[in-house]
Amino acid sequence: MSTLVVVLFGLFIASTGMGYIQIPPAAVLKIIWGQLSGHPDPFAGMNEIFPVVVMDVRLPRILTAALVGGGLAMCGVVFQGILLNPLADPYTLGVSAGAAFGAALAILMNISALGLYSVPLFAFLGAVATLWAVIYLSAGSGGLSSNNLILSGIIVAAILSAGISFLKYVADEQVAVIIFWLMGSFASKTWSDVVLTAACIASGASVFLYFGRELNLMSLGSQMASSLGVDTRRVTLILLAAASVVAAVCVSVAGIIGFVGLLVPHTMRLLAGPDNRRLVPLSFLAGALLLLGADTLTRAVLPVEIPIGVLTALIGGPFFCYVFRRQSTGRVW
Amino acid sequence: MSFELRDVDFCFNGKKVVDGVSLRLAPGRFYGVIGPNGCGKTTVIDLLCRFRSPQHGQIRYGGQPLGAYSKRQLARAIALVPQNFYINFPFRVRDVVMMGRYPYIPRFGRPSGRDLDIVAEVMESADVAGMAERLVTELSGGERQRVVFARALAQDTPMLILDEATSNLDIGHALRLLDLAARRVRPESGTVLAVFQDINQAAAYCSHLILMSRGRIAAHGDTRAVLTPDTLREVFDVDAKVYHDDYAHALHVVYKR
Repeated sequence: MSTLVVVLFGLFIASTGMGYIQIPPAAVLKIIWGQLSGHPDPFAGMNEIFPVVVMDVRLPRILTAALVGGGLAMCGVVFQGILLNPLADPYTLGVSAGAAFGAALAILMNISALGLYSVPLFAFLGAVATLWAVIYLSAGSGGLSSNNLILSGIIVAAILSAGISFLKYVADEQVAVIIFWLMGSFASKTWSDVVLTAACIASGASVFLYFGRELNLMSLGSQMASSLGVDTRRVTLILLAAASVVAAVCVSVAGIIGFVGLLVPHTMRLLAGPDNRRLVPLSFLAGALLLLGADTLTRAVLPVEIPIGVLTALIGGPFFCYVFRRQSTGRVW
Repeated sequence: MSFELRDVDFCFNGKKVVDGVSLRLAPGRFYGVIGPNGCGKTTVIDLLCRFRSPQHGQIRYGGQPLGAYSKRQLARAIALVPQNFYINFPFRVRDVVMMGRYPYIPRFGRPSGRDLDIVAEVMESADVAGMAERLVTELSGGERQRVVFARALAQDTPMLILDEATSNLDIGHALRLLDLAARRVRPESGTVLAVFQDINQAAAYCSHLILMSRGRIAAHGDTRAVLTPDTLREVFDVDAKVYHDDYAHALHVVYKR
């Protein structure tokens, strides 16, 4: 875990320095230190545009990317644990699509009654409604089976994406906003985005960690958990709600970013075992690392900025195929 | 602490699967439940574990309604070895057995020396100590059943419920685990209730038998009094001979083809 923290911090500093204007890592550290300690002296002798680039442009974007990546990965862990299904994540369950639909609706109707929070709120409502619909559809006799869940997720997501297309059709001049937002991007994030995301993810993470042991028991089946003293109904509802909040805020800030919640928990489970008390923080760090890396790649390395959602889907899609194949055949390939 | 069921009904999809069951389960006894497939055995267990609630009637434990206990209190009172279970996540055998101690360990606490001792002891006695570091996802059905058995023993409860817990086991391990269960029977503080398919195994271990048929209790009482050709014909519709076998020191049943 400490290795991950160090690597993440390193990437964090390196990534802040990279881009159209190159800033040496030492200068990045100085600027951040200067802001934290309140002494502007270290800026002396530095290109005066550096602090502005770091503080107002890059840091908000980088922090949001890392937070969203970590948040999505944690959600993946929780959804997989509760639904006893290694293929569950906000994207495959349609929760992301639901949040996107809610957010697109808010953008289209120009709802700003709640100011900054109206888009996230609509995204959350969309996410919860979708999750409910998916679980309702797949809950037949004998609990929530893998196939039913993924199938229902796909059906609901298909309906929702048709809904989103319709919204785009009627959107007129806002269509560009919706489309760009849906593809997912961390460009032009502000400190208020960072604060909102951080607050939601921190509260989500504390819920996940508090119920870490229950989540372990529930990943053995709800009856087993129940006979070991877990109030399964209550814990399931709390965890699903918390995971939906986190997923919704991630989507509302960054658009649909697929497969992070699938890829990261899987890899981490392979490396560190299935104990959710370790898996949640580890996945947070690894998810942050992955998405920050991907965002830095599209922002500073590639000649053209590709939407981040496209990039993660290109990496994550084949991985999903691999996991699915392995699960359905029991073989490595 | 004893269990008391009074006039318990449970309906599933409009069909009565448990129909007017009244029972008293007292400490110091090994109860066996036998009956044809679908006669409501597992549902009765679900009711005892509070996985389901009866639509009619009352279940009391130690004089209190079952609903008055918290989940954690129940987990310290009743341990269950279920009929079948699937584990999708690669936990280690040792960790799964340790989960039996969770009802005693504070939320963010570490297992105490006593917890570790109990886990080591039950793993040894259930013959799973040799696979402590293996992943449960890689075990065979019988091996997994032994792991879950060890986990239930680690829970160290006055009530132990086995739902066909030896169905996947070879005869050596089946007898070994039933012996372990029988050792949990203590006057005042230890009750075992086990669902059996094999009537001879039930006869060998149980002091009392409960015969179920179509959601009702067809007969219950002392094994010697209940296990007769007549009750077997009534419940299972078979012709059987029941005799005392000197080698097994137990009643034995043989059937006519």
